[in-house]
Amino acid sequence: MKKEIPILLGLIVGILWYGEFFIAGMFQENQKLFFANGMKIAGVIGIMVGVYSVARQNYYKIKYNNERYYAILRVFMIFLMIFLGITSGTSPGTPFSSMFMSVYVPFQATVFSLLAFYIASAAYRSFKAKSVESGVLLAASIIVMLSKIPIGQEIWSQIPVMGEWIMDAPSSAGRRAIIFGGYLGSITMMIRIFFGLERSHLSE
Amino acid sequence: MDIKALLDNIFLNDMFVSWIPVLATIMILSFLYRDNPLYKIGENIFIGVALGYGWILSWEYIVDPFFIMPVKDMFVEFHFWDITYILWFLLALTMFFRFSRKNAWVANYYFGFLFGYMAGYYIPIAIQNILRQSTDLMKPINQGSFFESSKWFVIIFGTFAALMYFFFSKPHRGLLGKTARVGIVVMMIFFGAAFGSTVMGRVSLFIDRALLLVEFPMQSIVCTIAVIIYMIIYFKFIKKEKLHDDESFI
Repeated sequence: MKKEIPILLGLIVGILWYGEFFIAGMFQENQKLFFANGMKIAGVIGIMVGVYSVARQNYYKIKYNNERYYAILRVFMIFLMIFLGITSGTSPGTPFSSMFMSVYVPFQATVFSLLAFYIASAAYRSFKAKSVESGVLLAASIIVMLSKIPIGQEIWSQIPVMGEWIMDAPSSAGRRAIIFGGYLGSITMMIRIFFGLERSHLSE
Repeated sequence: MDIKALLDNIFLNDMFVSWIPVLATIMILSFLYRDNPLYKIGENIFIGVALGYGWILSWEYIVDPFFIMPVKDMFVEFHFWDITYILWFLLALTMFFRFSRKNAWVANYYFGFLFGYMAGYYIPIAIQNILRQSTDLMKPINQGSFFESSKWFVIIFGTFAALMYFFFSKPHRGLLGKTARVGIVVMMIFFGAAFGSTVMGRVSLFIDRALLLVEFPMQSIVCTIAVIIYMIIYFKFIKKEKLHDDESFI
């Protein structure tokens, strides 16, 4: 009963929501609103669960001295942002937005820019044109990279055109095929959830 | 001086706006040498600021309009329809049982509902998207120049060939095998192009960081020297790592 009733609940809700796409009418409009409100409230409670989870994790880290000082720093920064948001508001030109522009943005941009080095070093170690397929991958990536910088044009004026063609034609075809595969796979997964064959989201 | 003016003086002055981004950039870049406390401090400041920022915006754009305001309205004038809010609230609250080891199953009611909802909602959307993608494929062959028409051929046959690679109901031999092989090549081009675009995106972010350091030269030099001195002290005197066998041999 710990799993059967939730699965049945899911099936009923799924059928009602699925039917909403095909049947128009007053009942369906109300039902749409009913579920939409439910999802909004679920989102609110989801945020609360997230806040509780973060607080709990950091509490244990501080209590059991698992990188205690970093956890204290993290919690301090959270409280600082909340304090700034409450006292000064979130509009541009406030201390809250200044923290975003002067702390969050540089940290985020630098963390992601670090990946440039690691991607480059990983590519240097693993990109070996051992087969036709890997050679094609290597060639496509080099052409696309060269096409996006001025030196590509200097080397050969047709490189930007080739880069554009790769992005528009074969890359677009590959992406589309993968999107098709993704949609088909997700439909299969949803049908499994629908009929209770997939139960990994439920606890024992 | 009131608190608001004090906060404005701290967070909006030129010192804060110029020194902190430079220091943040150099702290994170110090990871290129090795993992160190400065990087970890920067990482935790980033996580804390990101969480605080996200929560405040969530409060402003989700919690307040979708929860606080309806509850306030409920107290002003109660409608029969408002009972649904209470029901949803109680159902969503069961999510907290996930933290309990004994009673985690109570949350199944909420997750059963949520996943059923998502399944019912997502299946028609996914089918619509597949049909939309298929419709976008069907464009006239005559696109003007040969260059544009070649794109049409590659997109149509490339998509078909790549899809054939995922067709496992027949062994990949003969014509199907050859088509699947073309499909692999098409996907490899896509992966290569995606890789190239990602690298260039990251490099442009790095250039942006470098431009920031150029914009504030004095701050950059001071922060860089301070970070280098700290790292020399840290790795030389505070954290003495045992050398690996191959390093000690060298």
